[in-house]
Amino acid sequence: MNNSQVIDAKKLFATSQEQEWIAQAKQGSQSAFHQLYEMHHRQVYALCWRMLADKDSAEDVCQEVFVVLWQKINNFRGESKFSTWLHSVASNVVLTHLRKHKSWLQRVFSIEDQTSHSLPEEAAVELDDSSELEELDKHIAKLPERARLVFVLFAVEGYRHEEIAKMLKMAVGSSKSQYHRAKALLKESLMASPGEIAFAGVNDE
Amino acid sequence: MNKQISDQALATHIDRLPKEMKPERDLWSGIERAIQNKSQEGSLEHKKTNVVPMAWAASIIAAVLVAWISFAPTTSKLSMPLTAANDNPKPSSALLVTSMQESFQQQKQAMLVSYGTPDMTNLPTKMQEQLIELAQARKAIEKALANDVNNADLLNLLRFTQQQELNLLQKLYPYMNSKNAKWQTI
Repeated sequence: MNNSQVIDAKKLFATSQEQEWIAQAKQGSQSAFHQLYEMHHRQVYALCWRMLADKDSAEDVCQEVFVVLWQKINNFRGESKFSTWLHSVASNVVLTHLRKHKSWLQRVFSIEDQTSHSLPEEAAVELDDSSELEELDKHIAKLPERARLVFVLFAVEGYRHEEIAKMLKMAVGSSKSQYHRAKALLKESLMASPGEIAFAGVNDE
Repeated sequence: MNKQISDQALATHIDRLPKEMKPERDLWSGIERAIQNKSQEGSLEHKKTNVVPMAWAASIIAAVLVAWISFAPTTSKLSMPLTAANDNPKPSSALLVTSMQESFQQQKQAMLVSYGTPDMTNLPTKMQEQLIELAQARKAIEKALANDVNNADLLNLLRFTQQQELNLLQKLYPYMNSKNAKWQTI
């Protein structure tokens, strides 16, 4: 048995084990649900962290995701991969959290859209655990909220602009323009801190 | 010369981003508490919906009894010629009523002890009222039976009322303990 066969066998075992835990969790088994948590919480936390750019909020929302998952696990019909479904649940919980915690001023005026197309000072987040983060993650965290959400959902999570527009209640064109804005800001930020990431594809303009 | 990062280079770095991050604190303990509370809330909600028909039953019994007691003298007069034995009630009927009362009190007491002799004042006011109404109804039937010990309808009504009272106590058990339950939030 070669290495790839061993890896395939491991994957197959993990998948069948996961399906068993899902079935048991649907029946109300908290220990099976704990296994699912152990299997997926790091990925969910990464998604929460990237979307919220705040460690404490990410931890709180990650907990909320699993509580919602416990309530909704019977809705999972196995039509997609469990991890894909879980990520869509997590994205929605994060967005609901953001909507709930938006100040009335932010609701009335779209403050962020009025900011200039450079990284605003107030958008810079506290990165207490920055040493453990990838350099690129630090730059993503500094993006303005809407641009960051679109960027993470599109470039990292692989959602289509149509899906993002629906999730964020915006026009498809807005999602695309926020993505381009995020990309430009990210490149600008990366160029402003040379040496942190080695970019093989740096072009002369 | 102005250097620019290409989309391709950026995409490569995005692909290399770690798929997982480890939270600093333990998140599971909070999740576990929350899902246990959700499960309890779910069963409490289920029980709450069951209490509503009980409340209706208690109200109906109370209304029937008020009507019964209002018409009781007429009924006694009408039944007199038919049940001549009423003048000399059979001791066995009186014993049956006493036995029913004792059995009911024992069941009620055993139920309350098994619930840890809860403080009834913890119950919401409306539920306390329902219990009081049922108890008053039961006492009214017992009083009526003292004068008409062979009345089969009254005996049946007493048995029914006692059962309703026990059922209501059973349904109210979660409420009796709810004061002590602290719903923890994550």
